Amino acid sequence: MIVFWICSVITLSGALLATFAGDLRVAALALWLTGLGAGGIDLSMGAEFLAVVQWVVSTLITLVLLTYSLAYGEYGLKDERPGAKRGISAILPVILGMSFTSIVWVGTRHLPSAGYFEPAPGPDLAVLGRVLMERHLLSLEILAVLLFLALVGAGVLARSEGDPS
Amino acid sequence: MILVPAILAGIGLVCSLYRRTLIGLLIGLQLLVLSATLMFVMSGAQDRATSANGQVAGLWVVLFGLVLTVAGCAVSVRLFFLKRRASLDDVRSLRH
Repeated sequence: MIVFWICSVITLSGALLATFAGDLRVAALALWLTGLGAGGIDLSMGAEFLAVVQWVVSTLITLVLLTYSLAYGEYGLKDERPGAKRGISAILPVILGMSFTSIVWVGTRHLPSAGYFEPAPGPDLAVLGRVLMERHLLSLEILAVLLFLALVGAGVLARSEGDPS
Repeated sequence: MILVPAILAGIGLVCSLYRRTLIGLLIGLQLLVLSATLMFVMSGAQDRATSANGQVAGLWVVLFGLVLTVAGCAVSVRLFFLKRRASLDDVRSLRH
């Protein structure tokens, strides 16, 4: 379980850096670190397939965000709010975030996995594929349609219409 | 142990509210998605019988995060095309 705790520290540190880093490019890289850590947690829970998916998806998303940061110079700008104003504007989100964490913790503390436990060995890929195809086929199809619609919608939304001025 | 995704969810909410750009908002939402994925995986991990269901639910959440990124990037491209910047304050102008 040492892997779990190491990956947890990496994940939470990356998340904190992604939240409070001044440069968005640093924040995107911190998000990548968080994704890698989350994949490590998946791995320690016996979810090898999901860990690999998590690493690939996190890397892709980070590359997309970094590309946007470089393509549009504005994204690379540092947060220019004065330190005091940044501090004040962070207070309310931090209070809300702590409240949210408390609510999630209260809501999940009755789960068997709330305390310390030894994860069971995960299912192999064949079992996972069978569960996916036999029990969750409809949701798989709905998700595929959602992904397709998102791609088409993104193309329509980002289309060029000439000079807006 | 499940406190880890709970803390991650709180940090994700903080990031979503604290950041002023669309990309920053997307980063915060991705943290929330990561938290939800971990929550599902860890909830099912204690028992071999429920582990597959937890992983499948986690997979859905990961792919939903991908959809979220695609949609968010499309909105930011549109916004940058119209306004030459991608501040969250300008999102409302997309209605017109």
